[in-house]
Amino acid sequence: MSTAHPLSRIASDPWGSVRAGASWLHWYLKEIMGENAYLHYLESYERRHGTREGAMEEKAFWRDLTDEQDRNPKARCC
Amino acid sequence: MSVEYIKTEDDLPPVAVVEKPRWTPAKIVLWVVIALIAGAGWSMIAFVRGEELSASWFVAAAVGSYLIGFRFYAKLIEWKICRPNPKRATPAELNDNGRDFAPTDRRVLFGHHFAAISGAGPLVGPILAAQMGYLPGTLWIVFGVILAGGVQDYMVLFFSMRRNGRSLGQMTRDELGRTGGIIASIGIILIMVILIAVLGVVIINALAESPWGVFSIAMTIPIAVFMGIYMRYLRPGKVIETSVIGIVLLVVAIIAGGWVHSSPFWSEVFHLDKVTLAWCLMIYGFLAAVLPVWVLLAPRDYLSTFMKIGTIVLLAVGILIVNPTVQMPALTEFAFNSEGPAFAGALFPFLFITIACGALSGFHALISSGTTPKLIEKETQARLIGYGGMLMESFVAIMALVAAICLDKGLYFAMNAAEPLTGGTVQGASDFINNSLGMSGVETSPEVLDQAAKDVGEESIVSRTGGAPTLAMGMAHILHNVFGGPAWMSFWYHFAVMFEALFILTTIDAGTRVARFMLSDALGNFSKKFRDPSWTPGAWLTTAIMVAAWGSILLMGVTDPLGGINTLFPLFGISNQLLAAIALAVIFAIVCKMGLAKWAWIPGIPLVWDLLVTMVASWQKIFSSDPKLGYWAQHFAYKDALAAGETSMGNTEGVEAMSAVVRNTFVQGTLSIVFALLVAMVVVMAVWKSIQAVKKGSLPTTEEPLVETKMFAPAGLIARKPERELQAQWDEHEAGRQKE
Repeated sequence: MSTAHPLSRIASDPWGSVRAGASWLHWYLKEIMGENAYLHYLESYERRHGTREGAMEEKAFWRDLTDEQDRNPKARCC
Repeated sequence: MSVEYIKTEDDLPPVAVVEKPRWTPAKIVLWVVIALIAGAGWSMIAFVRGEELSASWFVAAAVGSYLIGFRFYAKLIEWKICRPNPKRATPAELNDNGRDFAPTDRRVLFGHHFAAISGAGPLVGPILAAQMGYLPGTLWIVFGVILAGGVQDYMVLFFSMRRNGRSLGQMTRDELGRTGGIIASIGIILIMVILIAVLGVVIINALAESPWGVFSIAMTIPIAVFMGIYMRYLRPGKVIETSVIGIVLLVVAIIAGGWVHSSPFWSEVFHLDKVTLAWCLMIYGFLAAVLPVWVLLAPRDYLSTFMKIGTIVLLAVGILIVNPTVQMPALTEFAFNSEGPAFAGALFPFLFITIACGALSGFHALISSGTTPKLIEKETQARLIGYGGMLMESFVAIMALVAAICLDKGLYFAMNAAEPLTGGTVQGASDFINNSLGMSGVETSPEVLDQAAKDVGEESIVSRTGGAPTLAMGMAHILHNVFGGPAWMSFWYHFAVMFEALFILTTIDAGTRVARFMLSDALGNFSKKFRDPSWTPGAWLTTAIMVAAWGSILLMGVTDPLGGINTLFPLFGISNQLLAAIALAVIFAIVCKMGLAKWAWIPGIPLVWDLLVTMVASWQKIFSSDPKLGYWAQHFAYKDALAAGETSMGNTEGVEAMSAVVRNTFVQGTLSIVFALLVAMVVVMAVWKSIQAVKKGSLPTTEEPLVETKMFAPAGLIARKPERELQAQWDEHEAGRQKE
C-alpha cells in the first residue's frame, strides 16, 4: 500500500489509477462473493499452525464449507 | 493533529494509531457544505408545494443527513458508551478458525453485513407508507435510522463483539436471567414465523395469475440446482464464474417468461392462483430446509447477493440520471385518518410499524449479534459496519420510496387497494379511485390501467398489493428511460419481481432452517436426540412444524376475504419492532450495568419511542372498537352478524368468507396479545436490572476479559495517512518474517 495521498496518486498516474481501480473492483467482487474463501482459510491455517501442511485440499474445503452451513445455518434478514 | 502509536508487543509494529483530530478551516468548510446540502434537500421536500419536485432532493437530504449522523451522533456513541479499545483483540482474532471466526477486511465485512441485513423489507414498507404522502415516510426513514436503527445495530454489534459474538438470545439470558432468555427466545421464534409468512404473502401477491412471473421464478430452482452441481463437482470454488452463468440463465428465464406469457398453452400452465402458489411455497420451503445446503440454498445465496448489488446500483444510477418528478403530494388525506387502502391505521403509530426495515429493524439484531461480530478485525471498525451498514439500508428504503412516489397516483392506488375495494377489475378500480378513494386529485380510467398492465406484460395490475409489484412498476418506469426504451418496460418489471422473489425465497429457506434449529434446541431440553442435527427424523419433524406454522398464516393471508396484506402487514411490522424493543432493552440494561446511566438516553430514546409505537399499535389492534383497525372488534362484528343469520357484511359475501374473517381475526388478535405480553415482560426485566444497576452505581456485566491484540487494521472505510504508513510497516514486517 502506498502512503501518498490517494488524490495525488491519481493526478500523477491517471491510467495506472484506472487499472488499479479496476483490479480493486475485481478483488472486491471476489471477496464479497466469497471466491477467496479457500485462500483465507489457508492463511488462517498458517497463522494457527505455522505451516500450510495438513490443511484441507481445495475441493474438500469447498464441500466442507457448504456442509458446515448445513450444521450451522445463518439467518438472512428481511 | 496529534498522533499516538499504540504498541502491545516489543517485536511487533504498533497495533493502532490514534489521531486526535483538530478542526481545521478546510474541515469546517466541508461540514458546513454537507449541512447546507442536507438543509437544501430538506427545505425542498418539506416546503415546496404545488411545484415540480425532483427526486434528487431526496438523495441530497438523505445522504447529507447520513453523513452528519455518522460523523457526529455515531461518534458520540463511540466516545461515550462503546469506547473501543485499540489494544483489545476481537473474537475474530482470538478464535480465528478460518470459518465463522475469521478476521475479515472491513470493506468486505461491510458488504457482507449489508447483504445479510437488507432484503425485501426496506423495499416493501416505504412503498405501502407512500399512501400517506412522501413527507412522513422520508422523515421517519432518515431520522429513524440516525436515532434508532443505526444505534441499535451498532450497539448490539459492539456488545456482542465484547461477548465473544454471542447471540441476542444468549445475551438476554446472560444479562437478564434465565427466564428473560427463554421469553426472548420464544419471541424470536414466533416473530420469525410471522416474518416468513408475510414475506410469502408479498411474493404470492406478485406472482398470482402472472404466468410470466411464475415461470421465471420457477426457473430459478433448476438454475440454482445446476449451479450447485457445477460448483460441487465440476468447478469447486469458482464462485464468480458460476454466478455469472446463473445470472445469464436468469436473464434468459425472464425473456423466456415473455414467450410463456404470449403462448396460450404455456400461459395456462403457469397461470396459478394464490392458494396453489401458497402450497407450492410450503413444499418448496420444506425441501429447501431439509436438502443439503449445496443443492439449493448456497447457490441461490450467491445469485441473490449478485442481484442485490447489481439492482441497487442500477436503481441508484437510474434515479440519478432520470431524476424523475414526484407525483404524490407531501401529505395525503390518509396521513390524518385511518382510511388508507394500502394498510389500515393512522400515521401514529402505523407509519412507524409499516416502515421497519430502513429505519429500525429488530431483525438486524440477530445478524449484528452472532454472525458479524465474529468477523471484525478491530473494535474501532464496529461503527462503520454496524451504523454505516444500517445507513446504507436506509438509503435503499429512500430509493424504494422515490420509485413509488414518482408513479402516477391513480396507478399507485389501483395497485395497492385490496381486491374487495376494486373487485379486481379495471372498471371497479377506476370507479373506486374516481368516486370513493377519499383523496382529492387522483383519477384514472380503465383504459389507463389496461395500458399500464400491457406495458409490463401482465394481464392485470389491479389490486397487486404487498408493495413488490408497485416497486417493480416504479423501477420499470425509471429504468426504461435509461436502458432499452419503452419496449423494455416489461423486462424491467419482471426483472424487479424476480430479484424481490429471490431475496424473499432466500429469507424463507434460510429462516425456516434457522427456526428449525432453534426449535430442535428447545426440544433438546426434553429429548436429547433433538440436539443432534444429523438425526434425520428430528430434522424432518422440526422442519415440518416450522413450515406448518408459517404455512398456516400464509394460507390465512392469501385467502383473507379482507385482502390479506393490509391486515397482516401491521402484524409483521409490530413483531419486527417488538424484536427491536427486546434488543434495545438489553442494550439499555447493559449500558446501565456498565455504570454509564447518564448516557442511557442514547438507547433510551429509541427504546421509549419503539415501545410507545408498538404498544399503542398493539393496543389499537387488540382493543380498538373500529372494526377496520381492531382485530377483535372485527372478530366480534362478523361473529355477531353470522349469529344473526346474515350472509354478507361490507365487502365480504357469503357465510364461508365471513367465517374465514372470524377465524383469521382470532389468530391475528391472539398473536398480537402474545407478542405484546412477551415483549412487555422482557422490558420490565431489563428496567428492573437497570434500576438495580443505577442504585449500586454499576453491576458486573458478562464482557470477556481483555486479551491484547497482535494485529493491525485501519478503522474507517478509507485508511488515513498515518494508517497507510503503519500498514506499510506491517507489510515490511510480514515480508521480513516470511524470509526467515
